[in-house]
Amino acid sequence: MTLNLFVAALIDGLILSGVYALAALGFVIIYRATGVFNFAQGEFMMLGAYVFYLFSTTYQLPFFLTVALVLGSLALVGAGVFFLFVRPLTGQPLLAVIIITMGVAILMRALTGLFWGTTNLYFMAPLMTTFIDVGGYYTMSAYDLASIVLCLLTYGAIMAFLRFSPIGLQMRASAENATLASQRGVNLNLVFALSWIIAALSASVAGAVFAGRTAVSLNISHLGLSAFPAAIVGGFDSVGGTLIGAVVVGLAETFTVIVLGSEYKDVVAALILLLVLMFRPYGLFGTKHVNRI
Amino acid sequence: MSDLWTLPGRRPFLAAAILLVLLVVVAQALPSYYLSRFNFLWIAIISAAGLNLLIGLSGQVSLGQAAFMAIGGYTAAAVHRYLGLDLLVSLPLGAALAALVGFLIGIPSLRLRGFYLALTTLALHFAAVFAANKFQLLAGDSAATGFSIERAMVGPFRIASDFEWFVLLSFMGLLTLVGFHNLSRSKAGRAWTAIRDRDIAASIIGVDVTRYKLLAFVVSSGIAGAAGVLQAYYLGNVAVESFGLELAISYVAIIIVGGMGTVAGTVLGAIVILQLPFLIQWITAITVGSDASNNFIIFDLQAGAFGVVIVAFLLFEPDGVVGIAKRIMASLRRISGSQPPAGGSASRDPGIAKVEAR
Repeated sequence: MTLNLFVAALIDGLILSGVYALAALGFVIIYRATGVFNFAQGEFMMLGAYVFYLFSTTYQLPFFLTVALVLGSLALVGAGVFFLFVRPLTGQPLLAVIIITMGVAILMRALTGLFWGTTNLYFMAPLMTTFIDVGGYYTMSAYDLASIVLCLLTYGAIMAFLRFSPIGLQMRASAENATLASQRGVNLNLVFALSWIIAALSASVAGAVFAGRTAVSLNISHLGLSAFPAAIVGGFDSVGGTLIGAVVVGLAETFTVIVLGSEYKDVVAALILLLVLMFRPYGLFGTKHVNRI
Repeated sequence: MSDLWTLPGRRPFLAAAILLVLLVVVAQALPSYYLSRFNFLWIAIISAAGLNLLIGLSGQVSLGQAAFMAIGGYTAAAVHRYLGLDLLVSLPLGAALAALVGFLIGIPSLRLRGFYLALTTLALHFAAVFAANKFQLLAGDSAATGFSIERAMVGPFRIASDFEWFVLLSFMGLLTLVGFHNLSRSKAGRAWTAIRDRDIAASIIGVDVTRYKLLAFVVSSGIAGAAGVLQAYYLGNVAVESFGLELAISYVAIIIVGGMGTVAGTVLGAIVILQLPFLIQWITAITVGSDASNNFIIFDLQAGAFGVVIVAFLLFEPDGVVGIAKRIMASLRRISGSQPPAGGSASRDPGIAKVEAR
C-alpha cells in the first residue's frame, strides 16, 4: 500500500467513522432514555440527505437556511415517530417495539421512494470544489476535512448538551431511573421525545454528510445497520465509548475493503459484532449486567 | 429427544389427514397459477412455524430466519450440484446443518436476551449472506444467477407440476403444523412457555433454561432449513438475492400479524403477508391501470403497505388476526345469548381446530 493510498483510505475511514459515530450516538441516546432499539436510524439518515437535497437543490435555498430547515424537519420527524408509533407501545414486549421501528423504517423508505424515485440524486455543498494540499504529496477535498470536523463538532455538541444543560441532566437522570426522575418532577414525555429528536438530528447530519460525498439514494439507509456494531463495540449505553467504537468499525471496514475487496464490507462489521457479543457482550465501555440463569 | 414428543391425540392427525385429502381434491380443480401461490404459501407456513416456535413459544427474538433458510437452500444446491443426490438426502442434511448453526448461534442466547439477541441473529444474517455470496462466486459459472436445480426427485418420483408440488408441500406443511401443535404441548413446549413468561420462575421450578433455550433454537432453525431446501427445489434456483433482510423481517411480520405461538396465527399471518402484494397490485391496476411504467410505484406501494400492516397490527391489534377472530367469536357468542365457556378461550384449543374450519 503506497502512502498516498494509505492517506486516502485513512481519510475515507475517518469520514465513515464520523458518520457511524453520529448514527450510533442516536441509537445510544434512544436506548439509554427509553430502552428502545431504533431500527429506523438509517432511515433518519436517508431522510436527512433527501431533505437536504430538497431544500438545497430543488428549492435552491442558501446553505445555512437549508441546514436550519433540514434540522427543523428532522426534529419533527423524530418527535412524530416517537409520539405516533413508539409511545403507544409503552408496556408492550420488546419485540413489538423493535419490530414497529422496523415497520416505520420500511414505511419511510417506501414513501421516500414514492416521492423522490429510485435514481441517485446529487447536490452541491460549500467547500466541495476547494482542495487542500496535505504535506505536498496528497490533495484532499476541503469538503472531506469539513465533514470530519462537522461530525466531531456535532458529536461534541450533543455530549455537551447532555452533560451541561439542565434538560441534559434530566435526560441522564431518567436514563438512570425513569420512575425516580419523574417523581422529582422530570417530564418524561419531553425527555423521551427529546432523545428521539436528538437521534434524528444527529442521523440527518450524518446522512447529509455522507450523501455529499457519494449520492442521495435509498441505500443510505443501510448505513444505519452498519452503525449497530459501532454502538455495540462502544457498549451501547456509553456515549463516549460509541465514538471509539465508531472509529474501530469505520477504519476496519475501510481498510478491509481496500485490502480484500468490497464484498467484505458488510461481513467485517457483522464479524466485529459477533466477536464482541460472544466475548464481551456489553462492549468495551458498557455497563456490565450479565444475567446468569 | 423424548421431551420433544408427547403421545399425540388422534384428533390433530385425523384432522390433518382429512384436510390433506380435501386439499388435494380441491386442488385438482385449480389452475396452475393459483396452485403456485398456494405452494409459496405452504413454504412460508412451514418456515413461519419454525420461527413462531422460537419467538412465540420460547420468547427469543430472531432476525436470522432468512439466514437459516439460506443454509437450507445452499445445502440443497450443493447436494444437487456436487453429489447429484435428491430431496431425500438434501432435506434432512439442510435441516441438520441449519440446526447445527442454530445451536451455535443459540449459545450467546444463554447470556443475551432481547435486542442483544436480535443483534446476534442480525450479525448471523450478514455472515450467512456473505458466505452464500462467496460460495456462489467460487462456483464460477453460477456467479450471476445463482445455482439452478433442474429437477426435484423424491426417491424414484419426480416432482414437476405445480399440482405434484402442492401435494408434497401440503403434506410437509400439515406435518409441520401438527408437529408444532404437538410440540407446544410436549414437555419442551411447556418449558418454553414457562421460560418465555418468566425465566427465573421457570428455572426455580426445575426447568433447565439453558437446555431448552438451545433446543428451541435447534428445532426452529432446523425447520427453517427444511423450508429453505423446499423453496430451493420449488423455485429451481438458489441465489443470494432471495435471502435478504426483508425476508427475515417479513417472517417476523407473519408471526406478529397472525398471532404468537399458535398454529392458526402462523397460517393466517402467512396468508395476510403473502397475499398483501397481490392485493396492492390489484388495487393499483384498478385505480391507475397496469402500465409497466407503474412498476416502481407498485413496488414502493407494496413495501409501504407492508410497513403499514406491521405498524397497524402492533398499535391496534397486538394479538394479530387470531386476536381479531377471538373477539369476533366472543361477540357472536354474546349475540346468540349463550354464555362463554368457563375459562374463556384458553380452555379451548385454538390450534388445529381453526385450520380445520378454514
